[in-house]
Amino acid sequence: MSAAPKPDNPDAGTRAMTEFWRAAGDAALQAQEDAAQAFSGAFAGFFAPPATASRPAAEKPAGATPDWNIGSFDTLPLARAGQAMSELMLSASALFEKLFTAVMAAAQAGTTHAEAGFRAMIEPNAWLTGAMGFEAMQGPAAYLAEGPKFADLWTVERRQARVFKAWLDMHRCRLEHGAVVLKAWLKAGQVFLGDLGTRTQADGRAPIGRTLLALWTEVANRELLETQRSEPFLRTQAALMRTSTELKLAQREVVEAWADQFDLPTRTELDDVHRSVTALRRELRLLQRERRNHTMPAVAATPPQPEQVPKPAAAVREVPVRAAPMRPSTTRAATTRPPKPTRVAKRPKANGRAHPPGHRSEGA
Amino acid sequence: MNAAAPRNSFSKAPALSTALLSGADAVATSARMGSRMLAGSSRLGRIRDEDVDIATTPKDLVWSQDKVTLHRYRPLVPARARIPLLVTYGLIGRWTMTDLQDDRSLVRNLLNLGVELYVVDWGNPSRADRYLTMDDYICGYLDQCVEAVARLSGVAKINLFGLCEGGVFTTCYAALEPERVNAMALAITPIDFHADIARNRLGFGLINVWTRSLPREDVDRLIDAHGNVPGKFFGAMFNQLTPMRTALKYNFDMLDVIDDEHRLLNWLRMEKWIADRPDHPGEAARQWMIELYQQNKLVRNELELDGRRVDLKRIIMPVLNVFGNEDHIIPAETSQALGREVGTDDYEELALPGGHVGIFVGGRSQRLFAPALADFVLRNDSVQHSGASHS
Repeated sequence: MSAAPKPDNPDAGTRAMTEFWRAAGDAALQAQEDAAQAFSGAFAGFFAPPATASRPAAEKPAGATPDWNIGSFDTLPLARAGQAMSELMLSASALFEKLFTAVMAAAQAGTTHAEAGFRAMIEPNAWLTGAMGFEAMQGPAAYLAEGPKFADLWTVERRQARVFKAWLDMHRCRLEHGAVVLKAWLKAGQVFLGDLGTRTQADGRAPIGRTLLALWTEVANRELLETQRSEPFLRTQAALMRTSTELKLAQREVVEAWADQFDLPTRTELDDVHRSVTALRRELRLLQRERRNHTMPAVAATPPQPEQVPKPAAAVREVPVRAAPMRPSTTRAATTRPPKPTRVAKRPKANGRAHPPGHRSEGA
Repeated sequence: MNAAAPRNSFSKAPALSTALLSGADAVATSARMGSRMLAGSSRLGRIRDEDVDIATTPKDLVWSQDKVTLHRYRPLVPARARIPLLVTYGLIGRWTMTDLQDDRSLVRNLLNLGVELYVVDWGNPSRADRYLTMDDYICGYLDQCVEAVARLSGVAKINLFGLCEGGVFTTCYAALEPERVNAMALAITPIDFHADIARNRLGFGLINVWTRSLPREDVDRLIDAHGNVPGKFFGAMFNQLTPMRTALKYNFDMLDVIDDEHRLLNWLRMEKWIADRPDHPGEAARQWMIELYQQNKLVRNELELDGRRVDLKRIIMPVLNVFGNEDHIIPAETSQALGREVGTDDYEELALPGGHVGIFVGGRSQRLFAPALADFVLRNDSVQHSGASHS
């Protein structure tokens, strides 16, 4: 987050904020280009045909040459996504400048509380980076994208290369999804400026303080909710989730190869055990139910009353009674008459209350 | 789409004011806010996590299997109902929502009205539980809980009360084992997972839209990779449903209550409940997302558990279906679909003001919910329903 401008110098704050976002946009683009070049350089050796590949097959020891053909790193899509994001960031910077100038004076007249909140909330980066709680906009996919890094495991280059390829894919999707979110912010900002102008013109004065925030949040909420249902948002978010999942799987492959080398149990092996245990328990349950169905007991007794300390009867798997600490009740019984639920008219049933058609078939 | 989207706290603000504050007023307002924030920060610094107590109504552990536990609440008044009520929440979130704070507790209110209560807790599923299915939870654990409650209370059949995903579990159980259920109450329970399409309200049913948009292979791959669906994943999804509210929560909502210890503690209790979001066992999540959200098998009577088809027409006991008018997570229409499908005419609906959580903690709902549910239990306490026999 950028530093908030001092209330007594809004112009300087505006300039500082604008310069910050311009720099952020440029830096984002540069970072993409640098990353793409770095990956291309680092893996050029892996993806170029290995020197041994040109040898006659007969000269190669069996299994000596790994299969490097996992596809080349096409960094163009990533660069395009970075370019699009950079352009959006510059647009956002310009809009932010307008927004900030337009509302700063009004915000100054409100409370410091409202002013600080508003300043933070209209920052475009907050919509992308998770600041101010906006990680929600990145959604579940962003959470899933945060996996461990395995930069030092260079002994398994082929698997590691897959990890980086998956990382590139995931990062590209993150940029594409971020661009959709940023567009929503741009639209919200434009609509807000329009509404602000209309209200100011109608009332002769601009709304201030918290009412100004109410207007902004109402506009932004609406735009965000509409965006979240849009095809581009859903498509890019699904792509981000998919690529982050692939990244996790690629990472697991590296880890499991490493664990295998040292005879450590792997996730896959543990899953196998858990699958077997669950299946066995399920079989047991089905057998128990089958047995119970043949011996359904009829029970009738009086339920325990408040003065009686409840003591559980023998259960299938009995556990010691552990009393929770008694606290005085501070709630009085609800004394209002219960509302009458709506009795919904239903279409006539052929069987009415009769036994439902039997279709029970015990599964194996 | 209409504009009836979930609002943020600012929607409660007065109509837009255009009055300009004078310089002196602005300074005074700022000073007051600064003073509140200072006092609030000090108060927040003194509060410890153990001070933020939730689910304090006394209860006893009466049964457990694996990570699943069953508790019986200690009666607060002499029982008025002979047949107990088993509360079943889902695997997304936890039942503690029903007993969040002493003065807004559905559990306490029901106990005070003479209802005998049990609650099932699914525990904290770990990676070892990734292969547990809805079949295991419904036909296994829930079935065992029902059996335990019936035995402990000395009755042949019991009342069920399912909430959210737990409502789906309850519905499935009642359809599979109608002879063991005296009456069934549901709250905020989706039955027709596609019913949101017809109304298409902005901000409502986003989870339905989002889940339907996912290719099936993406869901499969997600669960294959992660084993369980992390609780934080669902948390992020819920945050996304109310984007501005999420953004403002710690900036404004908290500041609004920070100078009042009682309100601050209540606000923190809600935070504590939200933070307690267990991971969802992977295979059960796969069924939840694909077979229910995507394929809508429940309302089509196509869902199968343990090889048995869940036919909603086998639900022949009295049914009370409670939902929130402003529930954007489980839109009311997805719950109301149940009324068209059950095999009983003894079906009632109760629409409460509030959203998914609001109907449990909201002031108006507090006055309506427990009395209606207790009344439902009491009205059906002496009737012996024949139920279906095993074939």
